[in-house]
Amino acid sequence: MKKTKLPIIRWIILAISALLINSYISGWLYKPHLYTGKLKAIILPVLNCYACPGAFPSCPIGTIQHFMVIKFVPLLTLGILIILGALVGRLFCGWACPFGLFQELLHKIPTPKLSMPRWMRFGKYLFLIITVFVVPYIITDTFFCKLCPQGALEGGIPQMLLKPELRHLAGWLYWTKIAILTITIFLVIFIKRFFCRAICPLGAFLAIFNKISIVQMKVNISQCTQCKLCKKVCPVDINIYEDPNSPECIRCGLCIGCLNGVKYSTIFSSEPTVKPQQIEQNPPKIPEINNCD
Amino acid sequence: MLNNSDMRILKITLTAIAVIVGIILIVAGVKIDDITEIITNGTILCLSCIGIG
Repeated sequence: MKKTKLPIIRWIILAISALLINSYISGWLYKPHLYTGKLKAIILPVLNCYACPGAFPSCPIGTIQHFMVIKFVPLLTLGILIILGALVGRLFCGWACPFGLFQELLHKIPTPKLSMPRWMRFGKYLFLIITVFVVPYIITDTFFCKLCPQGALEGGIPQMLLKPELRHLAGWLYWTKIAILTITIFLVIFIKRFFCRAICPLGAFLAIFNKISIVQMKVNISQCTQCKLCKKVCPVDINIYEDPNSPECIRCGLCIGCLNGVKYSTIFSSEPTVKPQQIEQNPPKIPEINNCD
Repeated sequence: MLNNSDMRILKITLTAIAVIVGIILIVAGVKIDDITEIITNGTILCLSCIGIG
């Protein structure tokens, strides 16, 4: 694997993003309260709870549910998500999502690692349709928020710590959320970005656009040896050469270090998209280097 | 089966459609004052998020 500065740059950008999004200091320190300014109108395509005392922007998933509850179409929110999805696909998942950062940090804990069954990736689409659109519309309540581990992490726990007057209200729902957060933490220690891949409704929404987004990934057929090192470094555990623009790909670019076999590209590039059968028909010629290490 | 060139044109067309639809939705959302609704909703403590309602 060629050493690049990209992974470090990505960690820095992820950390800065998480800090900036939740940097309403007054909300944390002085009589803990929510930010109520105009920046709350900003919809960023990242999972960040707007009940967090430091949060500036609104949560896109919470906002969509709210519009479902009041029986209106969330035109502005959907418009922003569609445009950003069409421009960069799931790039925000890999470069800016605070919950993605949280999961990747947890996965660094040295334990035996497990693979996620492939069928589970369809779960996030069900969560998107059922818990974000259908159920909130029917029961007139923000149903996904009741399950969201990010809500417990950034909203529930800090609010309970900072506001003692809320503590007596912590009942079965609060402890259910804490249990969901605990299970999520447990799972992501063993399985790479489990929440992003199996549950995240925002990831599911953006994944729809991965194949047609302007930013794309390309695999260089002449240099790929299918050594699967790309899968080893991939935060979502995919073989990038099988489908460079898989709906699962979060465009983190960590696979780019492999002998320049993978790179960022655009939809306007005329280089052909590589399919596995093409690699089998045209096996790469690697004169001296036979593995990505 | 579409060849690479046709596939690229199809993808570009779909991207353009998505961007246009996105812009239309944003304009419509701004016109019907979604912004106020988003700010209002965002500034009220989400009880579901913190697990007490």
